[in-house]
Amino acid sequence: MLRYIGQRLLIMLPIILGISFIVFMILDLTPGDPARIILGDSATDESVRVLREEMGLNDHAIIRYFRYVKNAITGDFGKSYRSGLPVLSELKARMPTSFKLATGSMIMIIIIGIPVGIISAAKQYSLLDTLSLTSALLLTSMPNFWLGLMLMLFFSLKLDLLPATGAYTWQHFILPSITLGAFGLATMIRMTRSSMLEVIRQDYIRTARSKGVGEFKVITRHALKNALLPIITIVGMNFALMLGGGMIIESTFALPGIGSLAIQAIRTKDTPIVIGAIIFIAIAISVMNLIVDIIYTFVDPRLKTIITAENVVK
Amino acid sequence: MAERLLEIKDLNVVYETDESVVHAVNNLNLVINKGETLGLVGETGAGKTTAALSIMKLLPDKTGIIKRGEIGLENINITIATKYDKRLLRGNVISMIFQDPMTSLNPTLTVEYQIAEVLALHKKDMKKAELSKRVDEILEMVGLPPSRKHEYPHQFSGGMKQRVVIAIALACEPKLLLADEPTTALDVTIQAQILKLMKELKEKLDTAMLLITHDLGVVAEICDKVAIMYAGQIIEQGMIEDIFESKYHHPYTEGLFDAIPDLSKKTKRLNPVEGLMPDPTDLPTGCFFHVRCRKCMDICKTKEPEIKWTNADKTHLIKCHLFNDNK
Ligand SMILES: Nc1ncnc2c1ncn2[C@@H]1O[C@H](COP(=O)(O)OP(=O)(O)OP(=O)(O)O)[C@@H](O)[C@H]1O
Ligand code: SF4
Ligand SMILES: [Mg+2]
Repeated sequence: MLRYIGQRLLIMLPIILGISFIVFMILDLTPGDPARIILGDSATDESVRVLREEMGLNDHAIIRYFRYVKNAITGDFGKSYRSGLPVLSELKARMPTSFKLATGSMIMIIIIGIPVGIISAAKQYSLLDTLSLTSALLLTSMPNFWLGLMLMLFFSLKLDLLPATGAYTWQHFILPSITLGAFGLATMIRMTRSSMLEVIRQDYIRTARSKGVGEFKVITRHALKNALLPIITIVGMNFALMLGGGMIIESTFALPGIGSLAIQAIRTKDTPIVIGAIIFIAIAISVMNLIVDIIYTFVDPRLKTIITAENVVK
Repeated sequence: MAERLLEIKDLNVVYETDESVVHAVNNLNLVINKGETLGLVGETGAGKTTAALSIMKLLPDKTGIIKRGEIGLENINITIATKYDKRLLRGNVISMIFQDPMTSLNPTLTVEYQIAEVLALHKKDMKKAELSKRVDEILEMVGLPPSRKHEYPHQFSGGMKQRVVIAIALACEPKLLLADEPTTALDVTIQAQILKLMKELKEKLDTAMLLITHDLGVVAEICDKVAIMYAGQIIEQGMIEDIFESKYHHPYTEGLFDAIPDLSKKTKRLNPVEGLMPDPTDLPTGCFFHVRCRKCMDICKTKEPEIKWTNADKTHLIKCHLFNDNK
């Protein structure tokens, strides 16, 4: 198992390198002189020229990329053009907020999405089923920022129950988490439902019923674990995406997370921050994938056998 | 006189879908006595599985409907059993073995759990240690090493899986075992082993068995009685000697036998008689077999034949106009 994890982590390296290369090159092609951005419009051409020399900006892009990678290995991802602070510490400062937000959304998706999906499948074509499918459809068709604004209007301004912006207490995370998780929740309901429906049709469910197992236990003990694989995938992917992808929502609710940092950096052409944020998201997704695959082996004994067998061979 | 265990009277089962109504079982009558093995033989689509599922009350929700008839178990009509009652019956009094052992076991639960579960459900007074011991005994009984009980189904071969399935079905020593083609999915050599095991166990536990099969060779080996099913009806039924030795037969049964030159040879799927089973959504008038029957008479096309006993003991019956007294 450890060996498997090691292998997977090794495979991650070239992927991250590839992504960083592509992002580096694309950003290099966009107009704008970093030295000018750092020094501002009022600086003289001479001082800009000196700074360019200092930063090695006159070198070929490939050379600069390799320099970037070399520094990155030692933990130096460059400095923000705007604040002058190291990218890593900027990202680190934003991580807890993004993490709390993504966790909040995830919890909501899991505790609402999975049970609703299960009930929907167990009572297929019933009123409850129709109701949950309709809500899922509504959730997907609502634009995120609009939902965020509506929630803010209603719960903060009208009812004055929850704070609208900022990241000071856990209450501050409720509305943004709901907004961020809305789409994932809809996916989760539909995925759980279809996965459960698929499993319920299987022969071994009929076997369970033929043993005299009650319907509740048929669903919870016999069907759910088998339906879990696609559900775990959704949870993992959503979590990784939400960690870095809450750009619009973080901005709407004025949450200082990775997403709002990235948006701001893109607007101000703060290239090191943009690359740093994208690498962070890429790592988050890769690690999440790995975690999901490891959880798989606990859920499905067949996969565990495959992974352990693989290790014996190698 | 043997004691009656299961008695099916005029059972009619349909599958109602949006497009059509499938008449899968039509006026089925069957009796199984205690400890007896009845072979139910018929072409694919004859309604054999449907009949077994009706006994288990496992027909697909909403689509599979018992329209008419009674299923009596020890003289209690179980067609009207409540949700709770039928759970008490399943796995305890009546068990079922399904066709494909590869898909019949839950891939995410250990073999031990799957066997112990049925015991825990029906033998409520058993303690945990007792359960575990009983699981070992049952595994030994079906010829599997108890040491492997913590493994998952995918770690077993097809034949071993079917042994696990049999272990689950017989764990509570049911009075009736419904075996729906228990060996068709297995290799020929393993088929013989599994059948032998089932025969031994049912004798040991004094369980009656309804054995659904396509294989007349299997029937000859382990059944006491045979019922031949066609388009949801029993068209001939008798003791094993009646079917294999009597000179009177339903034309369809004759067709089945003609297809097997040597009884000792095993046959694959039966499709012995020319033509196809009638469309179950649009059954013919008269005798359901008349379209394919070589001896078809005028009366067969319009009038449904009655059941006639061919012997004085009333063990052998045939549903065909050829055996009408006024013929
Ligand atoms: N769930 C269902 N919905 C609609 N029709 C069905 C359903 N299950 C079975 N049928 C139909 O009912 C008829 C009887 O099917 P059944 O499975 O009982 O046949 P069988 O004798 O067991 O055949 P086989 O030997 O192939 O297992 C067939 O015409 C089949 O198409
Ligand atoms: S009743 Fe007529 S058609 Fe039917 S099997 Fe007998 S002879 Fe053939
Ligand atoms: Mg069948």
